[in-house]
Amino acid sequence: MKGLVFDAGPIISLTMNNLLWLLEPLRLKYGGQFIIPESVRVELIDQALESKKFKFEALQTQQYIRNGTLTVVNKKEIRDEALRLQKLANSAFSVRGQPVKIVHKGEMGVLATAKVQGADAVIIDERNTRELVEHPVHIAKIMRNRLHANVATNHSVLKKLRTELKGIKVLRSFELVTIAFEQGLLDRYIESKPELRKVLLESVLWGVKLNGCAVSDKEIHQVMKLERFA
Amino acid sequence: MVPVLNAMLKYVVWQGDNMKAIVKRDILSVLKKAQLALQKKDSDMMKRTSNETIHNASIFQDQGSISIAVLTYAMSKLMHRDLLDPKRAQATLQMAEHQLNENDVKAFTNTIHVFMDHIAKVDRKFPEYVMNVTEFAHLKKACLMCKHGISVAQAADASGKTQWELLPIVASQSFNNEASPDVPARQRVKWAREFFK
Repeated sequence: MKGLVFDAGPIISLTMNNLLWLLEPLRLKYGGQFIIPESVRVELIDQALESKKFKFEALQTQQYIRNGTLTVVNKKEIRDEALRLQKLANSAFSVRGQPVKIVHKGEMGVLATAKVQGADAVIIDERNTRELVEHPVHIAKIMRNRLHANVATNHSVLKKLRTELKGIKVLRSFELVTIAFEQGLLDRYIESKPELRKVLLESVLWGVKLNGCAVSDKEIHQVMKLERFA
Repeated sequence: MVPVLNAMLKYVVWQGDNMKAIVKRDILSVLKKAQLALQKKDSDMMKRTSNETIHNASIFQDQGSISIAVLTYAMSKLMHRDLLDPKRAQATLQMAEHQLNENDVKAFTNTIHVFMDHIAKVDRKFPEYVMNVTEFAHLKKACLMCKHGISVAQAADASGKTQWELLPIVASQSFNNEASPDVPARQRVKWAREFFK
């Protein structure tokens, strides 16, 4: 099934930038489903509704579930797979003999959904889950440097994890807003003033970064260059 | 006990009388360092002690460990504002250390509760300050967990926060400014273009 699976982070980043509305036109352009696992729905809606500060953001997100822009998937097969991946990932590294729980069921729910549903990609903003998919050994390096402790890696678990997660492409809200810019979806903000296009792109790229997307200044510069603004 | 403390104290939880030996050892170490910081009247040292405890909180992800980190952070703030009674704090930490050494986790937990209650009574406005400090400290500590390689959702869950609260704070940290070593932005944009053509 043609689909992109979203973690909570990109939805949060888009919401905080008043860009959640982009999901509808992007989904139409994509021609498939924008999927969130039930665990992500709980984080985005249920947990936010319990807070005072993010109730309205929860309602905004809920609207996009109600109108079918975001499809919630809640299958036992996915939950079981998420649990299995979570157990694997959380046994990959240990410090002082203690396994370190590096990932949450929400994030593994995203990866499990992508695997089970045969999705094109996952949309994940946070760094560590992305590293788990693309460069898991780097997580051990991060932990070693930051914790100043010996980090033991279970290489057989890591190898198994690599096999399980092989082929999963990771995009971020950063790439979504770049595509939205390229397709003119953001032109409403510059009222046919082409001289503001550079400002527009820069502003949305920094906007998603400053609301949680793990992207470097260097990558922002790369995209600005790609779009011929640098 | 002020209502805000009830919310805070739910974080000071260990499972019944059980505390893992390794957690106990590290909390005892923190208590010793905190007492030394009090003796030296060194709020910076107290703050460093608080920062060191995040290593344990990242490893153990035990909400009690996180709360000890928050408590030492709050104490450093109070010391800086000259609002902490050093004798009382010292006596409390000594008692807590003794109780923990005797494996009396219940008494230890109660001592911490009473100490937090006392902090709240020092100043009428203090509960608000403490709440802000502990709220911010919880977020800051969760943020440090992310820096140490823990995912945002996991750090949020371990510290009793939501990703909504945590992500904007994580975003401002220097570790969030590291480029992906394997997949450049150009490649991701290329993938995105293929999906949205």
